[in-house]
Amino acid sequence: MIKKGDTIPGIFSLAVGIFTLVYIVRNPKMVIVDESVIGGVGPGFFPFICAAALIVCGILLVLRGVRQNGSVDYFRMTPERRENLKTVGMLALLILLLLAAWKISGLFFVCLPVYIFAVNRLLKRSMRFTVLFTVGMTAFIYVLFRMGFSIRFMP
Amino acid sequence: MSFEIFASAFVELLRPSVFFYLAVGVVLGTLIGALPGLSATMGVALVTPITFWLNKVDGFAMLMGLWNAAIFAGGITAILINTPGTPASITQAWDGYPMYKEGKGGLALGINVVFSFIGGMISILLLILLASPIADVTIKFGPGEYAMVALFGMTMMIAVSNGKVLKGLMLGFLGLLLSTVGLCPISGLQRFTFGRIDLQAGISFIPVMIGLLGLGEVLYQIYDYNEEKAREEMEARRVSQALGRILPTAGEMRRWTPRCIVSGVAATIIGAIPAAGGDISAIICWGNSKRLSKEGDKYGHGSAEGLAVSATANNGVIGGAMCTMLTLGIPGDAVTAVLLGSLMMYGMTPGHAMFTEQIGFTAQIMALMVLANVAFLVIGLATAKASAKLLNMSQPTVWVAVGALCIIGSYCINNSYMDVIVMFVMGILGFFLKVYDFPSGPLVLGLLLGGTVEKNMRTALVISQGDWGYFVTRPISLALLVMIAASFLFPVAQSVWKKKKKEKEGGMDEICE
Repeated sequence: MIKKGDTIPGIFSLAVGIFTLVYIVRNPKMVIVDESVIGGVGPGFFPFICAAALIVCGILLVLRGVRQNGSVDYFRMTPERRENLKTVGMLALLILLLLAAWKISGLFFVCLPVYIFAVNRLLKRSMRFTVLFTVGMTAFIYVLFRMGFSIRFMP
Repeated sequence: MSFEIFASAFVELLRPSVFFYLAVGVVLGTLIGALPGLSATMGVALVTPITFWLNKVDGFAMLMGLWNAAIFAGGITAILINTPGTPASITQAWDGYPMYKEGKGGLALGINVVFSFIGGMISILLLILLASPIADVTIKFGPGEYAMVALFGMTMMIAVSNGKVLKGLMLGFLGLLLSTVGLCPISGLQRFTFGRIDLQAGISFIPVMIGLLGLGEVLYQIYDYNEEKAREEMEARRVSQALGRILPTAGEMRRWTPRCIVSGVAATIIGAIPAAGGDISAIICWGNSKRLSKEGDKYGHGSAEGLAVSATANNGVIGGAMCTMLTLGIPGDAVTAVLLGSLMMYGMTPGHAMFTEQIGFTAQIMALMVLANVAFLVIGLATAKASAKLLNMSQPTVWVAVGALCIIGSYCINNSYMDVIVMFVMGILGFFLKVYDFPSGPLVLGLLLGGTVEKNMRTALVISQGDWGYFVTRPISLALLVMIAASFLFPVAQSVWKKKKKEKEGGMDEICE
């Protein structure tokens, strides 16, 4: 039952800890403890402590997840939640698309209304509400941030 | 802090812009607090980037207005739909909702406003009286003591873990690791920047907060959305029942106020303990008041006195949390964690300097808290009945608005596209943390205090030429070290004790059977 309980957060913690350790080991300037360094503690000391702690926490979480043996399932999927998860995924994708389009075009106030429109449609709002909300929200943000605070929104 | 300094700070605040931003903050706070799912922390995190474009006094006016109003407005939903707008309003639901059902909704809303104001004022008074003497102690602090204070703050990651100690520790260390991204504070070596210039300054705290508490919360609410339940709740929110009178009578005020003053003082003390937030304060004060009151049996069944005590305790923590934040640099709760980040971004260091070099601004912050309380008292009473209409706003509307504001807010802090990426990544992480039942508080604490711990600890080691005994030979540092050990060991001992008690009770049950 590796997919259940605390196993996945445990693996995540282990992965981050091991990655940090590898980064420290492969970077010779990331000294952990060295008498030749002033104060005896180098730039790698704190990351090393964190990596070690994350690995220990990761192991404990994985063990707990295995011991839970499927009795704890955080992603308890009902048909409704499965649909909702798709919406969550789509919203994350829309944000990524907004960020990419903004980066490529540099035209934030063209990308933003398209994003707001798309999110409203994703959340099944009526066309009339979507159009009104998109126009209102974009205008509010433009007036407050672009005109009021002179933010240029350059990626 | 002398009366003259405070009076002159007060006079300096008498500007139209301060009142304007204070009113904006109060209105936003009322809106945020009254909408279930939006917390004061989320509101402060979202609005903070905007305040960097204002002068610091106007910015803090907005933040103080928002924070104070959001805490009191959490009681509106608790009273009208039995859903606390903030966790701290839980006890207000126990007494406020039965009052509303009895047709005393207006009075319940009035009590919420008036006694939140009283609680807020008591805690600010104590803040003004006590902050300066506490800050005077910090003049003796060197890097060793500051490292220990920050480490003590970090031990609170266990306290804010809500019983999930292992998960809290894991996230705390992850936050600490994130705080090491950027240039090393002592050697200047680039760590975990992967050649990116925009990571050299480290990971900004505010985008992390916006991502975790804003976008992450929105994603989780979408995931957990139940259309039928939402429709039922919307129906319940369409307030049709007459709300009745709003203001308590003079006799009622006389009867409830002494008990509420005691609650206000207790709440301030609880608020000053790092990580003991409004929810703990409200429950402790409400529980003790129930035990000691003549009408204790009515508590939880529509007691106006119980509601008054809860409202006082709820806003009473604010002054205590600010006291710890301003004097020691330890956030008393999640909101003060964001405020601490704001202070640091304005180039200020909490501690003794806030009461010497920055004393004028510190006095202005305190005066702004007084004004914020007066503002929400006036606006709250004037709009008590109208505020019920706020609850008709649908969740999807809130999600779209908050999602867009998360993107814009995270960009505005440094005009940095990278900050938006950080916010997005943290939003996704925040979503999974909620799904896997992880408390996000420890991550925030680790990121916020990690830099202070590392910088001061390594500076202390440089001063002592690598002698770790430096931390135990200095009295204040040693005392703090004992406190750190106690705060680590106490929850562990408590957990073992509870486990043993449970086993014992289980054994007794078996014998009885």
